[in-house]
Amino acid sequence: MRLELIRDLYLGAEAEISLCDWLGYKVVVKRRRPKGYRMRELDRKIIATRTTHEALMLSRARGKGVLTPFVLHVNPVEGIIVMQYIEGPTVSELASKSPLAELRPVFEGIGRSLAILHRNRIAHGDPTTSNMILRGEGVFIVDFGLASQPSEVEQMGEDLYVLEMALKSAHHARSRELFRHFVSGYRGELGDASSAILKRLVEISRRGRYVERVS
Amino acid sequence: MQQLCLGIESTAHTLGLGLVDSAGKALADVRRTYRPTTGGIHPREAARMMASHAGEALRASFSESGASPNDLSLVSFSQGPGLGPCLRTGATLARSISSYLGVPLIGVNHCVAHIEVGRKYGDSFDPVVLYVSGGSTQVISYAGGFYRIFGETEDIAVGNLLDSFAREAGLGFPGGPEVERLSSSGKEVVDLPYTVKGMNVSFSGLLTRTKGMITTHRLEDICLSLQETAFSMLVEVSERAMAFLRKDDLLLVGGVGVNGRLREMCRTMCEERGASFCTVEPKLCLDNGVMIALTGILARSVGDETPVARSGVRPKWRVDRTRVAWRAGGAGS
Repeated sequence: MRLELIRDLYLGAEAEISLCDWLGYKVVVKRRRPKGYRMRELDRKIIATRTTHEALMLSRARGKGVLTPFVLHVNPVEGIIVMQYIEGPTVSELASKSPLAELRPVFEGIGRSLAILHRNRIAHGDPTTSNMILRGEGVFIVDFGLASQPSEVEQMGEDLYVLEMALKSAHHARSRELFRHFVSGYRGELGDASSAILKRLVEISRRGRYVERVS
Repeated sequence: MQQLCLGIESTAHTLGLGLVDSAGKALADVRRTYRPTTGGIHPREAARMMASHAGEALRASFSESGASPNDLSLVSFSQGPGLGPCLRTGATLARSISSYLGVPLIGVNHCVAHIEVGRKYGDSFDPVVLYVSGGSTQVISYAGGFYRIFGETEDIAVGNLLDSFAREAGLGFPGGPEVERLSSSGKEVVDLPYTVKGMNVSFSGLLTRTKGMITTHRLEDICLSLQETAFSMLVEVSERAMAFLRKDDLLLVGGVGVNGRLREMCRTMCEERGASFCTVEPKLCLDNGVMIALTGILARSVGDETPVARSGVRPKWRVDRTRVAWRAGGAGS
């Protein structure tokens, strides 16, 4: 397998993400780096488990009709996932500057995507606006590194909470309106099952550790 | 003006009396530690030990420092979080000294004190803090007037994990040092539950599994596996918080911070990401009165005072409910 680096995209605590050329295609490579502080066998196990799990979650989500990058290759030993490159702005980039009228269908679409995941008991784990990419009419959801299945109402409620907090911190002025559009798409797709999760969202927001204190 | 603060620590097993001056210099560090004969800490027994040693320990701290009670300008005490009976004993001591000498009283958050002593003596200005002890496991950092919790255990603390396992294996209390000693003769790392959720961790599965292995595996191997797994989880969430907050200092504090392997792992992680690792000598990681006195000095420098009417203990006082006004205007404020 020949991968040629085009450029680095992101360096996180756990993984590095780069844009590469693979057989003439532009692909994204996510590589979990070995950690020197962990004993080798434990490190290998963690990297292999997470790599396989993330690839599986990406594929399952796609199988249920949510837009996610195609997984092209997985190497659990090296901790590598090669996936389709989704070219487009992140929702985070758009949310502050695009006109609200244009953002409405985008956020309703995100609501529908998250509802489909939750109906299939997949919780994304980190659905911030920087993990969503707009290409054409559709919003692709990326980074399933913290995803879980089967998930419970608690994890789904946390998904909504993470999104709401991301909106509040990064796009404060319009966060209410954007979240409202999200909820309308979410509720429309998930129906009655959404009530328990939205109720849990309120509970999570009220918990002490999560409450933002104005200073 | 030169200040002298008496700090009284009494959250769990240790009655600590510390004398610190306004430069942050420790003039006395006296400790009386409760050792249960069987099992873990019995709160009422621990409090009784503290009450019976209070007078003698107080005299010892003054003779160690060479100061006299009349030199005191301030009395601070651990107001929480901690075990109710122990906290009340320390608070009673603090109130009586404060009102007898007519000097201000300051209730200090125990966890904030661990952080402040780490910043002062570990030479770290604006770190991500890994606070690990018998009762707490949190990843903390300062932002906008408060120490905020970015990650924490969803069930038991890491010190509690080590103590509970050690008790089950007949290793005595506290369990951490014995687990560390045995782990150095461990040969094989056994597969154990590794539970990291974002910046949070969970240890209860690890405890259940290791308890069940006591009769089937070498104790040294269990200790090694337990440490490696639990500490890897802690270092991973610390690194995640550092990346998230873009901070390049990690400060390790709290009783479990004396563990050599945990220190080594934190240092390796920091080296790999070009960050710096800070901690204090093991003695100051453990509960002590110096950190309470030091925090008293800091709080007093911005005019804080705890009137007796508001000096009731707060056994469940969370670190993120504590105003840290002395850091306002500094980094992250």
